[in-house]
Amino acid sequence: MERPEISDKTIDDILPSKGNIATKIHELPYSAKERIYVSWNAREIEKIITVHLSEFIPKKESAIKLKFQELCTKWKIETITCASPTKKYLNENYLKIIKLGEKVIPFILQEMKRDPDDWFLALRILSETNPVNPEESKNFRLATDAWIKWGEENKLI
Amino acid sequence: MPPSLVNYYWENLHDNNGEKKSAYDSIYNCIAFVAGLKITKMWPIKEDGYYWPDGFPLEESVENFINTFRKAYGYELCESNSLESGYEKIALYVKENEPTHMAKQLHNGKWISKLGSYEDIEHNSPEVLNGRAYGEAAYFMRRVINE
Repeated sequence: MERPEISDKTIDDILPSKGNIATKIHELPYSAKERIYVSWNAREIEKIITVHLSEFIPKKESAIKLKFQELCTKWKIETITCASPTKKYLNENYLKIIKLGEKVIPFILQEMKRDPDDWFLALRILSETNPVNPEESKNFRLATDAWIKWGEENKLI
Repeated sequence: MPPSLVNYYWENLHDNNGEKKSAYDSIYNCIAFVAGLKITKMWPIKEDGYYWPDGFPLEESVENFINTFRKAYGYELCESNSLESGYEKIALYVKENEPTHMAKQLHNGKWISKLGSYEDIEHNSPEVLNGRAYGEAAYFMRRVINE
């Protein structure tokens, strides 16, 4: 599906107020703007800006996190209308997240805890395990909780 | 959801024909919502986090959706999407011959459905959501209301 254009104007459109954070919007990288575009929540917008401003100083260990955030945001925008998990799993950005390797697992788990989504396939492939038992499998919330618990037990989040 | 994103994906949905009715909740999807489930997602697939009634095929086809909602939930295909006394109705959206979305009719004749991972939206008619994202409301089903 064709992606919508994301411009500074659309970012301005979704800002709930034109306070201090608005003046910082235009300083942000494109990936941060995409996250703001999706989140549509004042508290979340402030968090995104804080995180990204702190990451303007290049850090080797944060490169994979930034890449994950960029791909995750694109994935959410491009599959926002999908009820089918098949379409979400076959999205190019989802496959690129898996290609990042096992180092991305903590970021997936953090994102899953913040906003549960279809991360089960990626986590199974990357971790080569599945903590979701058959009784939890047909319940999205319980399946998500099982992965969060697994992440905490393995000190990944 | 950002207005510009709504305008892009649901080009016929506007302030005067649709109204947000819930907070953001990514735990359930539009199919589960129509089936009355808000703790999981529904899709005919064997995958964690997804429910589909036992004994029904795991096939992503229009025919399977119709048969499952007929046999598991008691709906029958009907011609009209207008309000009929004594019945509750649902709509199945289809794009390029694939199921994309479902909505259900309210007692006041309006419709309600969940947009992706975002909010439940009350809309004046099924056709309000026709377009780029969902294709069109192609099939309507009804069942007797058991008071």
